[in-house]
Amino acid sequence: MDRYKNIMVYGEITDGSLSSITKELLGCGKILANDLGEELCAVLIGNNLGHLAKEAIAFGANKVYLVDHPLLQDYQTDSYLLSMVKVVEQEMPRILILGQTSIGLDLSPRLAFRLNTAVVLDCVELSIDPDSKQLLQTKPVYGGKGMAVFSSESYPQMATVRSKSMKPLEREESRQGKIFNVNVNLDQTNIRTRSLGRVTEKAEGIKLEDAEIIISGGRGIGSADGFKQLEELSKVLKGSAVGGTRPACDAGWISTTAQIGLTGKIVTPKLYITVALSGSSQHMAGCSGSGTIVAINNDPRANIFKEAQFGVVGDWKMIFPAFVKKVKELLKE
Amino acid sequence: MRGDRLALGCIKLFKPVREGKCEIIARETLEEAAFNLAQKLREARVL
Repeated sequence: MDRYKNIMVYGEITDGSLSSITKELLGCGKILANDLGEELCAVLIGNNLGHLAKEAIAFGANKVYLVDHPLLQDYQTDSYLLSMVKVVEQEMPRILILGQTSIGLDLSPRLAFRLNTAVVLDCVELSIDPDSKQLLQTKPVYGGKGMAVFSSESYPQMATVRSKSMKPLEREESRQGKIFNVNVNLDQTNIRTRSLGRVTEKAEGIKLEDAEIIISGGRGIGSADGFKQLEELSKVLKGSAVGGTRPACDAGWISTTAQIGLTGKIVTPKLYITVALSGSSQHMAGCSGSGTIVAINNDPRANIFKEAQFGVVGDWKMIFPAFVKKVKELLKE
Repeated sequence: MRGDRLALGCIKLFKPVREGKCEIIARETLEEAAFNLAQKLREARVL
């Protein structure tokens, strides 16, 4: 165990910038590093990414390891795995954290296997046990109905962290850190798959994950036309988006890309307005981090009222149009 | 580098506690309650 030191974050890059999950991981990693009195390291893998090292330092990294190679232009399992194994075996971090993203989910189990260690996926909280100095990894279990805390005795202690569950540090240009280039022997023979093309998902308006206000509808909305009413409010509220529960998405009333919950997106808006939505644990697993939750539902015993700060009990078809009208008036003022 | 041990253990299992402090906006009519809800959110500076 003494061979292992420091906290390492795998940094994802989106459109040439550090992705939001990377900044969140750096924020979380910094707290762990401070608790252990150790350093926070970031690994960045890609092509022509030197400018991002300073950005990672500005968000809290003490050291940045760059693996820069033309064959690493886009994420590819074999080449990225080889790169991560090289960096981790060279630096021997005590803790290694990745994002709970499609890349993190692809990379982390393979990496754990190569390193003969364990990984806990989908953590929402990471902390250090003050006595044993072990990493405590907290994650939702049983469809979000319970929480479990895991600890691993194999090193590095690995975890993937759910998006929006950690807060990034304020960006500070004055932060200082060291940058190291890591050479990995890569050629086409290392890469067993190749990308044939790229399709970018078309998204209109604000992304759910970035929305400050979300109006979310459930099974009780009853139709696609009902969701149009929610969209009407969204048009009025700046920085807002419309989401839905799994039954509403499965019914085709709203796009599956707007699904919030355990099997959908994780969101943390400042205001989460729920309409005709019961608040099942599976749905709440995706929105319980919201600032203020509002419930409009005709069942006073619905779980959503246990989660919400404000609520109205009654038929949403009677309540919602009046609510929209009043919101419009207030915003005009 | 090989891991010292592969032991991974669940050391705690619990159900998250909800405070359940929902302020139910009740008025004579649902429209009034809706108006009042919007007003409350405005006062709370979340709208």
